[in-house]
Amino acid sequence: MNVETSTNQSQQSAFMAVLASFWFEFRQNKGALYGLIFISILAFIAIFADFISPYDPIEQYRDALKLPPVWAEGGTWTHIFGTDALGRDQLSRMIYGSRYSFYIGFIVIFFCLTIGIVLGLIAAFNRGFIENMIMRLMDIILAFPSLLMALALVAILGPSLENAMIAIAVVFIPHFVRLTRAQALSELGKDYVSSSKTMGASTFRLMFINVLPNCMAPLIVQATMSFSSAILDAAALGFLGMGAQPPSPEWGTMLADSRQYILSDPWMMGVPGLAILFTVLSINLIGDGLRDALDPKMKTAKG
Amino acid sequence: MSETTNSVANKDPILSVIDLSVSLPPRADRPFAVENVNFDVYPGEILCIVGESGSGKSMSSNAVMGLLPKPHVNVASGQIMFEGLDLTSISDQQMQSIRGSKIGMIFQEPMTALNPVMKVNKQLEEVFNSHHLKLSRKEVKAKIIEMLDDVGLPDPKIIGNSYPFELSGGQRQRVMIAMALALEPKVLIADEPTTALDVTTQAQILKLVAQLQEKRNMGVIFITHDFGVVAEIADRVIVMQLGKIVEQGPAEQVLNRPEHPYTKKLIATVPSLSAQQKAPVTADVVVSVKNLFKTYGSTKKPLFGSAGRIVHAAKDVNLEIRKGETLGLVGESGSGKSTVGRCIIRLHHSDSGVIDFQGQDILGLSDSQMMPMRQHIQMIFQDPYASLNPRRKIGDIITEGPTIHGVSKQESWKKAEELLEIVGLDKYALKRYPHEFSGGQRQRIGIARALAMSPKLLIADEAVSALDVSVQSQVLELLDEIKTKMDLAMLFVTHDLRVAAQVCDKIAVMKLGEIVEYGPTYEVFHNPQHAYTKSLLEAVPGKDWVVPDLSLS
Repeated sequence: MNVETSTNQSQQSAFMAVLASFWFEFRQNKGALYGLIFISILAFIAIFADFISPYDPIEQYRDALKLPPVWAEGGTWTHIFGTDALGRDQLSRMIYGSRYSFYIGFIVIFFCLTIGIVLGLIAAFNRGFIENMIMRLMDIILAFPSLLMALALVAILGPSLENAMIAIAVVFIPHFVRLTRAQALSELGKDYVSSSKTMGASTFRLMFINVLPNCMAPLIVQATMSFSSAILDAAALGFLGMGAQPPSPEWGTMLADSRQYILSDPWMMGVPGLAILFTVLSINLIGDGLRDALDPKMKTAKG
Repeated sequence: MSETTNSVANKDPILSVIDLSVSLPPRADRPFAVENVNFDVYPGEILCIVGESGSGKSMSSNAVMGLLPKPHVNVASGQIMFEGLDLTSISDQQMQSIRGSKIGMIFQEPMTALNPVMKVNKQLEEVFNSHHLKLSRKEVKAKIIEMLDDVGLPDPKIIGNSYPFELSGGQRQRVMIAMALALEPKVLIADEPTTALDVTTQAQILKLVAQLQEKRNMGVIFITHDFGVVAEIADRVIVMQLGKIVEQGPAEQVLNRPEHPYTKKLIATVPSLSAQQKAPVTADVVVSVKNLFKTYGSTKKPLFGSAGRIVHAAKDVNLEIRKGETLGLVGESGSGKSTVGRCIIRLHHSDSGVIDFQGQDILGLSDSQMMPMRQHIQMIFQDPYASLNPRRKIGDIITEGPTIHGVSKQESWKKAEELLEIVGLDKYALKRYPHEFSGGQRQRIGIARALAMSPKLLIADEAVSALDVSVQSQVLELLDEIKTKMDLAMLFVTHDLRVAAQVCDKIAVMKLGEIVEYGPTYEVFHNPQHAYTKSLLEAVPGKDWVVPDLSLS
């Protein structure tokens, strides 16, 4: 296998070679591979929810309230995961709910990455007063328990999914700022940056063309890990009634809706709960795989 | 082979390496790190293994110590005989008892080879404890003090009570040697022990190793890439190339009458310490530095703790460089030589002074006024691995400067192609990434990048220090060629006096931020005035060895 990859590498372009060696490293981690498979299936379901879903997720079937899932006693094939207290099809709600998970994850990560990178780079390039201001502000945000902080923000902004995402993003940003700053500082000490300076490169150019691409590997890993945390936090906010509002089929909200039936109909909470569990676990496994594959130490060993 | 030198003629070897091959993992560039290597070590001799990076010189000694990075690198065949035992086939436990007690080793980086959170005493104690010697604490303590005294450390009690970071590089290396010799091993393996040290410290350590070796009648395997060091201490020499021994023999013979073409090539590239008398350059002055001051740290008392220490990196520095002239700025680490270079190119802010670049004081310019001046002063950096952005293609790296200064993309790419040809690379390199090139090639790319701006002043900051000697001579040749062709002024910052002797028209010797001697190279090398210059020249390893002229053969 080793020989094969190395001969392939010489034939392909540099980028493909990098990609191939990345894939080689990633594949070594079986957990990450299973995670990737699970997330791929979930992504497929989310994209084609309109075609896959057997029912409308918010339509109420009054003749089938609190129907148990098919494997339990009294379950039917018409509602595979059963129905909730209002007679909505659980499977359809789960399928549409996966859309919310991706939506939350991507939006939160987008905000975290852009704002985190910009603030981190500004801090790294302006050592002294500006750096201190930014970093101390981040320390203050980090000083609050994250969910409590998000709750407080949602309480101020008003409960809705969008506000919940903003709150989660704010809570996560400090990690990105710190990471970017630390990476950028170590890169700034290298002579390729000095060289660009002697060419007369502008700060903007130094930040985004020279330094940033070299900081991306740990940021990608952090982004993946935060993706799952964002889903988890959004679910928690939803559960507390501060996130997505009914009747949207968000997994956390579904948990909240079925809370009172936990003793009589445990599957009603079990299904969305397990979905959250597996999604978060898969993404974390992918994150671990990415970390191994993007580890700079492994790269220098090859170079 | 065994009748090599008179001193060892009638003795039996203490260590014999017989037909040793060390295999590398399947993806490596060659199947064996070390291939069919044979050598003997005799008591009371220093055996130098020389070779360029990747020649397998460290691997062969690591195999002796059982320190190969298993399971990727293994002994494939052969024997290492020591006291009747074959070290390649004994158990790990047996190896552990031999390691340290009978075969000692010292490493290149004294900083990382010592445990940073353990006092020197404790670390030395470890050596005794790990070998289960029946010694009382008192005896161990006395022994440690004796050891530290033996390696020439002043005040062994104080040194023993300090942490490694409180010691200088030379002192750390002495502690390392004390540790390696604590149990009086019969063989000492020294893997580039002086490479990270300043030249004066290096001279002391070399002397110490030679003294201890004589006193204890040890066999020493000394691994180095520096022929100067070989000339200084070796009794016998082994030359390695790509995992094979290409030549071995008495030092005097190998150094002065090498037989193998590779040895000849290597020795031919060693710069000679004797400078040529050159006609003084009388062209226009490109840059003149007057009364440059630069300090690090501040006296301002911080909120907590006491006021910081001030370090003078440049103290009233005056120098000038003319068109087509190379000024060498030499000194040991911490002398401020790099800082001066970086102040001239304005990578560092200077405290005060005048840097007159073709009639304009560039220290007084604002950043935006400095912009157009940037293209006239360019720099070549020391570390070819850190000085190229790993995420950008060579073409983008070379054309970055011209693009910033408004040259069109096509034009700058065309120029980059020409420049690559000048520095000896083909134009396809433009589309590739830095990691695809060797250190020497990267340094050529760095030179091409500097030249892309058509500078008038080139600052070479230890530009060849990280390179192997044969690559080093090629890059030096290239720099000289470019300088003459483009009529450049060059500031050559280096710690290597041999290189300076060959390259520079004038030399400025720096010590603790001050220029202590400044004059034509020939004068400085053959008639040094300042005591510091004298001690520097005195410390150059192998100074008495006249590099043979092998150009005819």
